[in-house]
Amino acid sequence: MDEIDFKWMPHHEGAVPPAGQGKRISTYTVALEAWRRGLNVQFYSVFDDENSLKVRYSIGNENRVHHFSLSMGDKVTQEAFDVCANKELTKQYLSKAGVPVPEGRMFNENSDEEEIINFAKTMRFPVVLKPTDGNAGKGVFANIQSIDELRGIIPYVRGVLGFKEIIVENYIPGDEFRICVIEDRLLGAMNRRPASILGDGKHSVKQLIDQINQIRKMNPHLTSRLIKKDREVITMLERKGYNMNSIPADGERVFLREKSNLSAGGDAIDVTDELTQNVKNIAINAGKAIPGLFHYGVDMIVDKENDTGVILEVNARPGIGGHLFPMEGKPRDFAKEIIDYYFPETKNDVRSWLFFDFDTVLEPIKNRSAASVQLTPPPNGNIHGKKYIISGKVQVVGYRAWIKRQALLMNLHGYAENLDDGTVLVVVAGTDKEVVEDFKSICFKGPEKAVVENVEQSDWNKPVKIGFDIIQKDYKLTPFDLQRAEKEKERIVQEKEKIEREKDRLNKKYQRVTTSKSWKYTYPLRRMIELLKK
Amino acid sequence: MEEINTEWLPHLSNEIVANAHGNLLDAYVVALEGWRRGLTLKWHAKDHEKFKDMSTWFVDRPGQLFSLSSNEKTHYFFRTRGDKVTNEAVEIGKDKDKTKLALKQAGVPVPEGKQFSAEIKNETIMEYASDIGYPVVVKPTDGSFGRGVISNITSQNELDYSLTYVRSELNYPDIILEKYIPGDEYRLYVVESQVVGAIHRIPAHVVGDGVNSIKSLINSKNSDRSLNPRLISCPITLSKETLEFIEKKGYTADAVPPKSETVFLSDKSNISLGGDPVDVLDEIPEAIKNVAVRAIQAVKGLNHGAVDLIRHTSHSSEEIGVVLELNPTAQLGGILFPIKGDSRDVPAAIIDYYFPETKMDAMQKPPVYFDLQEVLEPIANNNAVSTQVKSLEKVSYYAQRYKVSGAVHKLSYHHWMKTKALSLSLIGYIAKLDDDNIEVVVAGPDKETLTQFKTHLMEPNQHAEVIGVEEEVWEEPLKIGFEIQGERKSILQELNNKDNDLLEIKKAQKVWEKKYQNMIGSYSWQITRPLRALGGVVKRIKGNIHT
Repeated sequence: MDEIDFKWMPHHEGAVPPAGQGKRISTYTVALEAWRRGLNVQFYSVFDDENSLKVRYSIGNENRVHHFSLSMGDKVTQEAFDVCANKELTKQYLSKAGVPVPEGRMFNENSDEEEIINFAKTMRFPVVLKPTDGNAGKGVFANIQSIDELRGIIPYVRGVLGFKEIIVENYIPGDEFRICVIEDRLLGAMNRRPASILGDGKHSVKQLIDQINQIRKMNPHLTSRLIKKDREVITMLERKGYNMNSIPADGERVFLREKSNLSAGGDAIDVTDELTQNVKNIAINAGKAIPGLFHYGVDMIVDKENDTGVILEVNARPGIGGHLFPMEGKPRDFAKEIIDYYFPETKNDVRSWLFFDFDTVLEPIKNRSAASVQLTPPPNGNIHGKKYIISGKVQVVGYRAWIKRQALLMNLHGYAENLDDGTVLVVVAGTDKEVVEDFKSICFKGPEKAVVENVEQSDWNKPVKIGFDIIQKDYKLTPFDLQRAEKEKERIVQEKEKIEREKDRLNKKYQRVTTSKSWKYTYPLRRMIELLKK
Repeated sequence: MEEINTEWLPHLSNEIVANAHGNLLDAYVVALEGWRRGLTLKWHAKDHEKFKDMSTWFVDRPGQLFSLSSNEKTHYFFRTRGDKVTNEAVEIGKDKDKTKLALKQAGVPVPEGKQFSAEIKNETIMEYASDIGYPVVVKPTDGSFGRGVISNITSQNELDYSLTYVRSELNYPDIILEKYIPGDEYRLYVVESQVVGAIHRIPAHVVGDGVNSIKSLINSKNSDRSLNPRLISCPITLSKETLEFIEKKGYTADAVPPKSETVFLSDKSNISLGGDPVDVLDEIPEAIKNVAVRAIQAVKGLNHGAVDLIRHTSHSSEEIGVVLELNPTAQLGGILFPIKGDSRDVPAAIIDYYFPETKMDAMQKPPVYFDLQEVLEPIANNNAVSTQVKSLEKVSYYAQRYKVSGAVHKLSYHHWMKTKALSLSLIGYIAKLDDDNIEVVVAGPDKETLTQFKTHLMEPNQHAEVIGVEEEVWEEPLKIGFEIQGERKSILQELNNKDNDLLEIKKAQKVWEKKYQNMIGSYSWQITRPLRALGGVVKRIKGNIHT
């Protein structure tokens, strides 16, 4: 497999630890941006009615502190948040301000099915049925073609899914854009496209899916959201007369699913440059319509033909992962925008090239041992990095563990990893250029059991995690892993004992020498030397 | 065989304090006490917040600096010493001359003596010894753990040798010489005007049984000591010093002392050198307690701390306490985990002093604790400057243990159970039993919640086939959070802890290596090489004569 280039912003390359990938990507990237500017970042837990744990964070500069939940900061008022959480209320605010929304009506639990059907009969079909307070598209049925279809869906949404309060509104065809806004500035927009592959006339469907998945794995937002080759995908292909081994023509896009959810293999695509001034204005006016909503995202159906659009939903805390890590188009750094907005005084501050270990930080919080963890600010000064590849007898000799200790003793950050060709890769970074460069001689030395033949060096310009890691290949839990861990533990215990014995030996030797007979016999001589020195 | 303690304060069981080894123990017991009373507990990295201005030392490793807060106030602690002890008081405690001066002024008995700095010649010191009269004691000004302390020096010759040994060979040029006061050594812990704990420190010793050698008596004593959370880290060693000490009494390591004979192995009472802490709080006379309280009060801004004194019988057969040292940052291990007698809850007394409004009965305190290593980890790997321990919601706790049998081994089932427990605000753990069944221990603020949890256990479940649930009341301590034992995570964490230990030891080894190298490289050592070779010859000749 060829190495794929990281196609997003360089300061995010390799800088999103597992705990920050997927659903915590907004939390992590916003906090990271603040931390890198030297702001005071603290993570803490809150608990909802079911006692399930939510991670929140605060960012402070001197005595000013702001609290955040995902991408939302505390400048957004609770009232604004509540309005956005209720789709009917949102619609009322928007209509009142003249912002276009789909026509329709809300029905609460007191309305029976007939009342809804009677209303629908007055509407133009197709229609949409959705709950007022659902999120992530739960219970949303778009493109309902007839009264009969609607009749089937109502009991499902209200009964099975339990959403009593629903909205029936006009279905508006067009592209659904997600747009982010801070006050009267539009930051950018993205569009979601269902899982698909682009033919090149050479590779099979299967190979193309695998290629896409390689890129998705690298995308911190989508790492665990790969395209599965399941029944739905196969059926979809069959409908077009394809199977896994077919070779689509060069430039042909083959869709693999209907729904565009990212979790189902959908792609986020940056469409910021496609927005017209009219569409931008609708998005900005949506925010102005809701008091206290200073930054937000909107879901908007854009009607390109008529250069207009309708707002489906306003999000007080939109996910920014798709904007930061789109599969197509330009990445947009909304984490930076958010911190610039809350802490404009740090806009031009130097950003550290390091990142923090979100996994370690979250661990005690997630395990409910700690209520909060306050981060250590990054070290001041520019970070210099070097990559060393060490060859010789360097694997299974405790090389990496030894390197780790040396690096920690010298206040260097980085990691060590065994490579498949038997070499060891070591990356070190720190504020002292000389120490980073001199580390080459440390790599040459290695632990007792190692025989180093060569050390290759090159500059390292990618972000580095603070602390020092030994990279383990496989993160999945297998009995073999446990065995290996137990063995490793055993080894460390033995090494510890060995070192302790060595320490004792030196200690004894020291004591022996100082109490030895010859030491005592030579006392007059030493005394004389001392006197002479004076 | 001596009778010894294996159980101490129930709310500080071995399992709980096993969380905190070495010098983390003292901070942990005080922090835990405050946290259990519902105070907010935060651990801090070096120099964080108020600690910049507080006198502390060796705090690179987290677990020694913490703060406790109520709604009204926050207090900062370094190990057992809180911020009501001023830096000035700590300074006086560190400097033995200043301590002595303050005590003298307050009329507290102290041994007559003086501090001598490096440039003062041995002759001058010996003259001073003659003035105050023998026997005398020599000790390093800034020593600890009894290193370099020579007591009961009875003659000028002996003093000459001792001074050379301590000042040149052990390299402690700054020393204190004071009058030797015979008597037992006590450590009393004082909070304001109350003595809240007192131990008699008995130098390392074994008691003969007429069968075993001194060596094997030491071994069996050490295995007893390893059951004691304080003493596990300080076994008695058969060092050269020990051998020389027993040699003077006509013993070797292989000698078998007669039944019930006590053989002392050292004249130093330090616990770190194998000394025994024995609780004496109820039996020491008021007069001795008074001396300790007056000693603490003699130093302005001290307020609480340990007083080391000698219980001495004067010429007029009057019992007096002569104070040797004040320790504002005292270790509590000996008082909490005495080898004989009762444990005294000094952490409770300290928290009572700082947060009197939180005073509570020991029986009310829930036997819960938190995973210290887990909470410290973000600080230990340099990612955090402070972590706040999750607060206890309620101080009442009911705990049950369920033994669940059937096809219950799947991790997905354990995770499901964990989610259920957490949604009910329960704490506890799941562990595999030897027979493939599992045990689930949970605790919560009321019995109803536990019943609810049990109902969940009995429900049909896609991850497991439960055959039976046995139930019993659980009275052991429990850690907050909910752990699935044997998960990869916990093994990795253990691995990480071991690795950190290794790093610590490596650092210590480096120190010794350097010390040794320095000595080998020292000028006088090189110049005496021919003489040393000669010494070897002399030894060999002597050896031949003996055989």
